Amino acid sequence: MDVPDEDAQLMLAFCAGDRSAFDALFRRWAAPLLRYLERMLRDTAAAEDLVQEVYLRVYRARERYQPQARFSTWLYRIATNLALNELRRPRRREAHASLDGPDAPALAGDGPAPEAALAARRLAERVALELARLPERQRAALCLSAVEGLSYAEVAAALEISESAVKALVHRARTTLVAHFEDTV
Amino acid sequence: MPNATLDCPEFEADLSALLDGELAPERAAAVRLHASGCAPCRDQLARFERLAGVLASAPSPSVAASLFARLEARIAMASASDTGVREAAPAPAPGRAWLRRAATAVAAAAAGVALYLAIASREPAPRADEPFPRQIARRPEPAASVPAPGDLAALPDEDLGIALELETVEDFEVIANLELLELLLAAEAG
Repeated sequence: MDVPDEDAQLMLAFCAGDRSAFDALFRRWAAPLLRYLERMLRDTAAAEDLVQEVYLRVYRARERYQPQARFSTWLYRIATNLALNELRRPRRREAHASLDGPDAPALAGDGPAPEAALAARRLAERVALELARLPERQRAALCLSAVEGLSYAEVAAALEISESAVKALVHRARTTLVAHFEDTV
Repeated sequence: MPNATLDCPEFEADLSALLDGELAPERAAAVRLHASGCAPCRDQLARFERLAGVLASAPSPSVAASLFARLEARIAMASASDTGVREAAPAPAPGRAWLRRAATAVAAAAAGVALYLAIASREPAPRADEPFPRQIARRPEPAASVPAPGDLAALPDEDLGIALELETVEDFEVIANLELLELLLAAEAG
């Protein structure tokens, strides 16, 4: 990697003692990480815990960090490993759609929602549920690629697999999802 | 019309990569040309595109304002633990290992207090319809299982042995959360 990307430069500044650079990295990436981890785990509290864990690892890596890839790819690799470990925990709680969650259907008292918006919201909820049923790596590959906008090369680096494997995972994930939404998607 | 039996598996496998802009230009042109004349592939590509729209438009969670504060508390714990290890590091000589372990335990004890604060700050306000009161937030002695730095010598031998075995903040997290676990189990049993 010739020139570190902007985030890697922030990380290097943090490594040099600039604490505000760490704060900036949190502000830039906490929301995308939370979105990714929530889609992986379908559990907001667990996703928040893992966002903290990702940044704790970034903090601890300040003395040995070397910008070898995009900073965001490194972040997503940490997040993916943590998410896969979390999903494999034997006593992990079953993920349930929470009525308090951001994907919750509109409740009475929120005012009338336009029908189109409501239909879109319900479709998004169904997709999120079906997404959660995909095999872990298919889900991770699709989320990183189609939602987070990573290239296949970046997804491959995050998942520590080949680009051709990423291509196959993303394709299988999409094919499975659209088959479940034959009527609506 | 392309031969669906022979050509479609090959092209169909590339539809997703086409949508993601991951095909070389020549291959992308070939797949587009195929899809323009092959109804199944064209329909599948259209379904992929609609799915991409749904995935992109799904609501994103907002980052709670307290998340950074909780992270800071965990960093403070980690720093306390690291400092303890570093300060004890000059005494690695055989026979002095207990000193490093004790220093780590003391640092982690301080971290336990930070952990308690982090846990307490996460507790939402009690609701009137809660089945049992949230006793954790009202505990008078935060992280009571974690010995204060000056209390190690006062511990019974068996407890001191356990305390000195605790190497990491994570160990203290377990200890600090035992009370929480016990209270939850008691509430469930009750």
